[in-house]
Amino acid sequence: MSWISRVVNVFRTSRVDPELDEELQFHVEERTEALMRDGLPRKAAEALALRQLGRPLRLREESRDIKLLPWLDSLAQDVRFALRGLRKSPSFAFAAVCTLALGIGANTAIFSVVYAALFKPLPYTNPDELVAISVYVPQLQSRFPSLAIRPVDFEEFRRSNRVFADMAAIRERNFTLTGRGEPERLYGARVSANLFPLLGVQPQLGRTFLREEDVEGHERVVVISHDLWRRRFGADPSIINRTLSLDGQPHIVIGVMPAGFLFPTGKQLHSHVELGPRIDVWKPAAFNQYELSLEELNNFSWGVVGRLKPGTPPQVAQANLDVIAQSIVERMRAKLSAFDEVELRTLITPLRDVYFGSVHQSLVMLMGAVGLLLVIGCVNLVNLLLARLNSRSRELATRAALGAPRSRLVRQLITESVVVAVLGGAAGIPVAAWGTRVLIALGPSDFPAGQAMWLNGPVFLFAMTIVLGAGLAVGLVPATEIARGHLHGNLKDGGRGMTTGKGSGDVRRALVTSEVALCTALLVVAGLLLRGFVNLMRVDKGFEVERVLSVDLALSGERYQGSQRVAFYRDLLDNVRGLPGVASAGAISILPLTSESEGNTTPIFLEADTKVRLDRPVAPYRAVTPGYFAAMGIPLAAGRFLEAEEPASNVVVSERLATHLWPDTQLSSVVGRRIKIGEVTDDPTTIVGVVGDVRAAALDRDPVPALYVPYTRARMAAMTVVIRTTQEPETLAAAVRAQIWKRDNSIPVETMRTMREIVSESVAPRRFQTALVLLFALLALGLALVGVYGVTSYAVARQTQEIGVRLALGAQRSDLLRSVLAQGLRPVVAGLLVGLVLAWTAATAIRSFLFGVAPLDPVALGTVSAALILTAAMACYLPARRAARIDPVVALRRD
Amino acid sequence: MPRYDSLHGTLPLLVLKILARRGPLHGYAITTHVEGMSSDVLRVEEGSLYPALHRMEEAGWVKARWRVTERNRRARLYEITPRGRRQLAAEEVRWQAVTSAVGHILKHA
Repeated sequence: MSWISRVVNVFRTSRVDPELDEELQFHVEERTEALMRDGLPRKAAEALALRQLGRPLRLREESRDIKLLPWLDSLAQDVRFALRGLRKSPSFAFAAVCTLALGIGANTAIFSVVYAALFKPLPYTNPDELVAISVYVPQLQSRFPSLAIRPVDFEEFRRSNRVFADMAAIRERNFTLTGRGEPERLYGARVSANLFPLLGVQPQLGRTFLREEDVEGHERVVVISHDLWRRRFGADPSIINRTLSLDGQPHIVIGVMPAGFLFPTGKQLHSHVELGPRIDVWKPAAFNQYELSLEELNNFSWGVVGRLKPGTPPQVAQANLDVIAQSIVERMRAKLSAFDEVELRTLITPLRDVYFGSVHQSLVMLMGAVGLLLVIGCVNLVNLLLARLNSRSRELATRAALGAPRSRLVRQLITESVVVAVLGGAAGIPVAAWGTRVLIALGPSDFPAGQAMWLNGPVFLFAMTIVLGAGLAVGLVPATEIARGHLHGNLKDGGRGMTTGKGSGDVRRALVTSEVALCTALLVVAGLLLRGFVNLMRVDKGFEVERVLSVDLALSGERYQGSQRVAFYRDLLDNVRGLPGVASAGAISILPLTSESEGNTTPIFLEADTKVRLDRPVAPYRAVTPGYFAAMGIPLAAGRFLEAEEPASNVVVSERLATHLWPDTQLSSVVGRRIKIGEVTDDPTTIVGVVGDVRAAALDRDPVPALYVPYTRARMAAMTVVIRTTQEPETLAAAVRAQIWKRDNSIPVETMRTMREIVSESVAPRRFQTALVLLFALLALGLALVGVYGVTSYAVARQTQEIGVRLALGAQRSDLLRSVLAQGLRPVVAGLLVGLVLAWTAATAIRSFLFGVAPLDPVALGTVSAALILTAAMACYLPARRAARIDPVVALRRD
Repeated sequence: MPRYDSLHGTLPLLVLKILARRGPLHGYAITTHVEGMSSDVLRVEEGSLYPALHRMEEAGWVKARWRVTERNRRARLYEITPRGRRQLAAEEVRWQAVTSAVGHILKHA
């Protein structure tokens, strides 16, 4: 019976057994009928037949053992032998197991993330039917690839479509929780009442929303997260029907969601729907009249999930929604002349893509890098095994001479490498567990790590597959050497090299070449990512990073109305400016780099425009207090900054907005010109100043035209205060907090971050990727160097006699040194050349990750090549020096 | 009449012979044939028969197939293979040699 089918049989007992059972069952039935024909009653006949059958259990086991036992026995023998062999060469065992543990551990860790992101089903009922819906306006698509959805359109889509089982809408709504201990800022959402049943999730306690609660005036009910329930209420089951004060208004808790209930957080659902990093509180959407008006264009702000009717392809659903969108547009045209030339179309994306689309590419890249590391590790292991095979050739030749069949020796070698692989895999499990924890700890927040990642069944299965694959792959090479073997020849020439002369040397050099090639590719990619990252950090951000402290504040709607808000911030900022160590202070509605979307945006028209024009710019709309630009170090290009008591009809624009509106005009002459904000019918406002451009959404995105209005015009409750300091900004945190709480101790002050931290967080995903790939590349370099060293040492060891002869004949030691070095470096150079070609392919594939670096960046390529040659030369130097120091007399005397 | 439960060593021979003569049979039929033809002197213990059948199958002497019997039940039918026929011939020769030798000793010792 073949090796494979035996393995299969071991795991197949469950399949063998039912067959045997059925066979015996048949036997018993036949026997019973025969006995009944002899006149026995059925019961007695059955009993007798069963007794005659003997103990079926024993029988069954015997039948199986027939195949298994001798095989298991000889396997155990092989394994024992392999382990004994490994104990005899601990350095080989150590190197091999470490290489594999590293490769398998790193791969498993990355795969556990990849699995969570790409393969694990979403934790909802029939998740494949769930899609996210967004819309776009073809005429604006270059500016807004897609838009979130207006409540009025959501209701129309939901009512009129024929393709969805249901649809739900969700939008961010954060709250301040007061009345119990320290005030706390809660992340929350307004959701249509059907959201939970649509996803197919049940609350752990209580209930979810009723349809009648999803109506304005009846919406003071909330469902809270398991996390909030535990953290804030000690998991008290009597929380249901309790009243919470959210933003100063009473809300009744009607349900608690189960632990781990995930719903899109952050910008997952749509880039314009910015939910918190977690959700503490859900509240019914209860759209108001303003949100439901057909003419209102400022409400493209809701994320929508839909459940397709079973079997409906997304394209069909999209076509159906497009028809509805068309009817919406037609009704709007009747009322709004601005809509004359505008279309509205829908986009449907599977929810899985929405969740993980953004990290997909980055995961594929990491998986590629870490996979290469494993391949290099395996190549190295083959090298080690080949070297070991040479030192063992005498033993193997002897065993062959004593009559061990060749197949038996091959099997022994494969068993050995599989044993090494299993040991490596076992050692890889703690590495993987640790690596996974590190990934979670260091991973950026949009990494699916935090969401659902643990070493689970499929991941373990994957790890075992690599283990066995690596074991077989690694064992196969020496095994084929044996199978081709010149075993008997070996015994004759004293077993100095079983694979005499060229054969194995060529194989090993080829292995080094491939190892160096893969390593080069990995190093180049890492170098390019690193260069890109450095470029990114050096890019002109438009603001200064050092010595800026920021604090997010939100005034509760009850206590602070428009003018009270203005007074609060003015008073607070005046007092903060008076603190020792403060150079300037101001506030803005959305701080750069804290929101990837542009938040509130508004169309801008020239004073002369009388009709909506789609070619006019759409700019992020930011409210700022005096002192903001100075605190952020944003330079003034023309005119002046906004001042205290600035009239609401004055604004400041960014350079890009100014040049966009008046392409050929000097910035200084833009000051004093007038524009209309939002509607062509609105009163014009005057530009009093032009400020520098800011990379506000992300460092790797070009600045967009921006508009700054005085806080007295847009009096938002939530502002971020920024403080420029003359010392380390952290040292001011306590004083600033005291200033805030002195005014109102019900304002939560949780996030006080320095601008340096904010910048650092905004590039976290990129830094994380770069660091990981760099780590893998350096590990790969280490492995490749071990390979280079091994091959050169081995060559020197084999040539000891020859070198002795040459020395005896008067060869110069320096010539020897040079020739050994050259011999060692030849496969490295070959590998490097192949590697550069590979690197070019890889670099083109990851072009989107590179910021301001050409795929064939000469600095990266040059550095990598030089570093590789240099370190490889060092790896060759040690054995070369050994060769040069050989004592010819000793060398010649050796057998 | 005494019954000999142990057919150690001879079971494969008997099974092969029966299969060679009667064509494909299931395990139960093999036991009834052995018992019937030996007038119940020889008795096949199922505990030995099935392991023996599986061993013979692995050795390639018999092959097995699932068939539906005329009473519409699934049964595993064993059939002798060419290799099994060669084995049978060899075993028959051996058996004749051993029995005649034993007979000779019993007669002349």
